[in-house]
Amino acid sequence: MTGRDTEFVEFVRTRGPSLRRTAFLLCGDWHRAEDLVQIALLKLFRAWSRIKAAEAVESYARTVLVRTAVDESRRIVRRRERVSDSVPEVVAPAENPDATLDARRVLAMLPARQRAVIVLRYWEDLPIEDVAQMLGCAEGTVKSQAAKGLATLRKLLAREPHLLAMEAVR
Amino acid sequence: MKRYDELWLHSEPVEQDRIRELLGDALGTEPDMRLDPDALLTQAQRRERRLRVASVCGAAAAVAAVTVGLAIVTSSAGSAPTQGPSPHLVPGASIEQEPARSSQRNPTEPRVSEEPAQKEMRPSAPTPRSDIVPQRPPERIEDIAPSATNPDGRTIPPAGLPGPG
Repeated sequence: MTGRDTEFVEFVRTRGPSLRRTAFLLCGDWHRAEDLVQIALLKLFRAWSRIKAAEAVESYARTVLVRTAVDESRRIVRRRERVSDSVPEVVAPAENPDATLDARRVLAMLPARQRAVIVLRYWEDLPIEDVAQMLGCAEGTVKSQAAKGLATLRKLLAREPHLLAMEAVR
Repeated sequence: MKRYDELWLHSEPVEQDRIRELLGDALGTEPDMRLDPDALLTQAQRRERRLRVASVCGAAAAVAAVTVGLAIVTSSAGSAPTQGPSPHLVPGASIEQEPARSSQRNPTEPRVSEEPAQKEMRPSAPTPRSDIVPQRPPERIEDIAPSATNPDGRTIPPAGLPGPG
């Protein structure tokens, strides 16, 4: 293994779980989150030498991940089922399953871009300029998307709870 | 739900740690990660190799295409005067055309060379016709005005001519 390979494997081991969590918040499905992380890491490997020199591996990986997730959400036809020869792993029950389900439903009803802004701004603690750079838009757009996302969350959670109920039935 | 109701019903700006709490709740309990770093490395190397081969082949094909194109253009430019006018040129333009060597000629084209015209002017041998009987030019006057014969056997000379006696 070359130095690049060793560094890449080490990066996947250390940063893979964090990237997968971000991907899950962006897409809401653990399997799809792993696919997104894999796509992002494959792209990262090609540009490893260039971005390693610029000390921007983490930022590059997150940018690729977010953009891939947003692009995937725009697709009309999306893979809903996966053929696998292994039994899917059983997720341990959460401490508060109702809160988990409610939070997931609320996030799922956000548009992809607003959701990405909310996740990057409030989960990754990134400044507005970094979020704008990652999404390839202006800082004003990030601010407006964040405000709209928060307003949508307030609306969904407080003023129109029947939407959540409908989503739960669906 | 009630916790989120309390969170979002108030009109004051939502605090960052509360949103973070909401996102943490959405995560729940994580399943085990199935992503194998070594397998991913192998896949990435294979993908990179394939892309490199594709790019090298593409570059070679592009160079070959440019070379062949240049060769075609150069050869056609070098042999252009011996091959006659280009099909893109307008007929009747100021281009001196060589006499046609080919036997296949368009009958609508005007004849430019002198040689076929000289061949047409050359006198040809008379063609014998079966319906025309060749006649000898008359040599005697009797041939022009044949004499009449009396019932007694004497010949009557034609008018204007002395008789045989």
